[in-house]
Parts: sequence; structure tokens; C-alpha cells
Amino acid sequence: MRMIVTGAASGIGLATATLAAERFGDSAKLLVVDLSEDALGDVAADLRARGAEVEALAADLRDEGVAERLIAKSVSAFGGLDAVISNAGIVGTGELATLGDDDYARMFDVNARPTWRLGKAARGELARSRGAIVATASISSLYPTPPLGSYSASKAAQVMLVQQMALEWGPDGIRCNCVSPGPTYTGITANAFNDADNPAHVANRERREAAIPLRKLGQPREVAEAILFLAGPGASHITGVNLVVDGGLSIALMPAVGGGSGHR
Amino acid sequence: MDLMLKDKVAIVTGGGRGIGATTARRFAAEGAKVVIADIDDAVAQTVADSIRADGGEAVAVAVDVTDADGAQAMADAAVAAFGTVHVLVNNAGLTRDTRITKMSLADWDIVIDVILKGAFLCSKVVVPLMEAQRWGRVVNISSRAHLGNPGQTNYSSAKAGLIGFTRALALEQGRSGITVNAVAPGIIDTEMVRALPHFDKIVANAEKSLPLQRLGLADDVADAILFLASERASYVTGDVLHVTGGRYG
Repeated sequence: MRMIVTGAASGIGLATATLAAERFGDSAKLLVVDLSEDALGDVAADLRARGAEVEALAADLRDEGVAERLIAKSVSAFGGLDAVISNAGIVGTGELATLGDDDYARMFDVNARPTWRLGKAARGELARSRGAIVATASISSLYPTPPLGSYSASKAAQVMLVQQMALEWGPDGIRCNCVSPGPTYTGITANAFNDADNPAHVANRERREAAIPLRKLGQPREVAEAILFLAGPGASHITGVNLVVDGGLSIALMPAVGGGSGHR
Repeated sequence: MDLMLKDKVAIVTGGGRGIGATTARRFAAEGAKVVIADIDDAVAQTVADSIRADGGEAVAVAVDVTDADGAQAMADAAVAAFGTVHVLVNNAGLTRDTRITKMSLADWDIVIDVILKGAFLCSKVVVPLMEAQRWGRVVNISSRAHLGNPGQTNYSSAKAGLIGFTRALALEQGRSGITVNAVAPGIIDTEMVRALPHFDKIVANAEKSLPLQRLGLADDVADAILFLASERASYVTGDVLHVTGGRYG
């Protein structure tokens, strides 16, 4: 499995690369991408220790030409490409009434456009391998989530972008799908509920757990499982879906955690 | 593929044919113990025999899923054979296609009863076993037809109803460690679909209009069912996973 993972230094991206290394062993050929070279150094070493062949590349996915560079790197190092995991993302808070243009644009520049650029650059290689694209969205792609107005909109854009790619590139043999995690223990949530010694975090976590049908927050590995399923041969007739990995939260009590109404 | 389903007990209703039979075989290949429940005893026996011939563990149970006593007898048979039930695949279903002006009450009732009442009755008797062990997986076989197919007001209603059932049961049973999900297949190459009078046209249309340009296979659907039934889908519940090759509307 020759795979590019963006946002691979932490959270769901790291869990996906790690799970791929564990599952595919020395046939895992992983190009891990994130902003910081330092963080990637440890990740690459750890993945190699698990038997994977690893390339690491620090890049800002907002920069032009980065997508092409990543695909070229995968081809030169691994001889091709089987899957692109477009996972890098940022969260931004702010009410739409007062949000600035730059903040709004940044959300779409990081959360949505790179998936299109990566897909476009990878299309030839993925057609050759009959490969797959899996992008990380969010349950906020389905339900408005105050105060995440621009984040929710960017994740909804991500989902439709991927469904559009599925439609256009299906005839090339390329499958394109999303996963939509609910609250998951990642860097993005570190300020909200990761700290077991912080009473506010604990209260926040308990409130969320009570609202989730499975009564627990998600682990990055549980989202990674869904990503690898969609990237692999078990999903060979699945394209254009948005697989929700949220313990049932989005069909339950979004209002209880500050969400609005919505449909999926 | 190790899905950690070894020694798990799985009931597959409508397990004698098509998607059900393929799913039963795939569970067995993962080392699961399989109960093949079907209204047609002969086909259920055939699938169970072939699984045992391959070294797997399986029993066949004749059941009409619209009958409460029958559903209870099915669960009892599973417990008698294998001790408990971990996975229930509500797959039994049928079509009685015709435009509404020609659809008889019997056409409506049998489709709604087998698909919807059947899922209710089978879940009702199996969920207590799952609650007791605080682990369970219910996978309901819906259909892309939940979005509406002409000539299938009965079938579309039943398959849409199954999604509401899936979500309600997911909400009820999450705290017991039971996940409940639906798989919505598109056009799958099975006996049921091959029997349609315009099958050749369906194939030609799929190759032309589906993004992935082919009919689905029973194995494609089984892949999705096995994933949802496995530990790998531990945080997925109340979901509807489409296996359609890219067709939705």
C-alpha cells in the first residue's frame, strides 16, 4: 500500500499512518506530510521501526505546486501511488457576523482546496493503480456547529468536492470518499477535553460522553480504521460516501453539545 | 484479512441466497460461527453444508422472520448451537414490483412485513443476548432504493423505514455496547436482480451511468457488512453505508 498522508504528525493522520504500518508491515510505503520537519522526524522513525518504508516531507498545503511535488516524491520513492489520505485540517472559531475575510479564506485554503489539488495531481497515478482518495471531513460538514461557522462550511465543501471527484473520476477507476469524525481525542481538541487533570476539561468531556450513544469520545485509531477501510480493497464498490465515525452523536443530541439542526 | 471475528456468532437472515449467502460464507471464512436463517430450509442447508465442507462452523435454521415465535426459535437455535449471538445481519427481503395503481395490499404487506417487521422481530429477540455480554453488532440491509424507485413504493418504503429503525435502535442500544448500522447496496449482481425481465438493460445502464461503471457484487456488500460487524468499526453507529458504485439519486 503506497500512501500519502497529510497532517500526519498528530491525531487522526498519525493514527492512520501508524495503523497502515502495523497492518501492512514492509509493504506499507508511506509518504507522511505535515508543516513541521521536527515533528515529522519522530513520526518517520517510529513508522520505520514498525517495518514501513517511509518518506517525510514538510510542506504547507496552501502553497502552489506542493501537491505535484508530493505525487512526484511518491512516484520516485515508491514507484507509484495507491491512496491519498487528505487529512490535514485546522479548526477556527468565530461568529460569522464578525469573522474577517482572511480567517474565512484560511479555513477553505487549508481544509478544502488541498484535497482538490492533491486529487488533480494524483489522478494519473491513481488511475494506473485503481487507487483511492480518502478525505477527513467532520460531522460539522452535516450539522451547523456554533461557533465553527467557517469550519463547518469548509468541511461541507470538502465533502461535496470529494463527491464531485467521485463522480468525475469514477470512470478512471478512482474511488473518492470522506470520513466524518465526531469529537475525537486529537490536537484540535486538546484545548477542550484532553486534559484529565483540568476540571473544566473533565466536565466538558463528561457532558459530551453523556450525549454520545456509545458513551465515549472517539480515538484517532477508530477513525483511522474507517479511513483504511475506505482506502482498501474492501471498499472497491464504495465511492462518494461520507462515512460518519462519531459514536452516533450526530443522530442523537447535537443540541446538547451546542449544535443546531440538520440532516444527513 | 483478520477482522477479529473469530468465534463470534453471527446470524444472517435470508442467508440462503444472494448477498445473505455470500455474507454467511465470508463470516465463516473469518472464523465466525454462522447461523443461516432462511424461509427456504433447503437453500439454508446447502449454504451451511458448504461452509462445513470448507471446515467452518454453521447451522441452518428455517424461519419466517414475520412470525414472532419463529424469530424466537431462531435465536434459541443460535444459543443452543453456539451459546450466544454477537452479530445479527437483518438481510431477509423480497420485491413485489409494480406501479401503485396495480399494487395489491398483499404486495404491499409482504414486502413491508418481511423487511421491516422481520428486522424488528429478529432484533427484539437477539438484542437481549447482546446486552447481556455488552457487545453486539446489528447490520441492517437497506438499499439505495430508500431514496425512492419507481415501481417500488412498497420496497422503497420498507428500505427507508429500515434506516429509521437503524438510527432509533442505535440511539437506544449505544450504551449497551451495541452498534447498529445499515448498508445500502445499489444494483448488485444477485439471483434476485438477474431474475428481473430487463436485466440486460440494467447491466448496460450500470456500465454507462455508474461512476464505477459496473454492477456491484455480493462480495462488495459483504465487505461492508463485515467491516461494520468487526471491531474496526467500533465507533461507527447509526450510519448508512452506501455500496452503490457511486449512484445515489
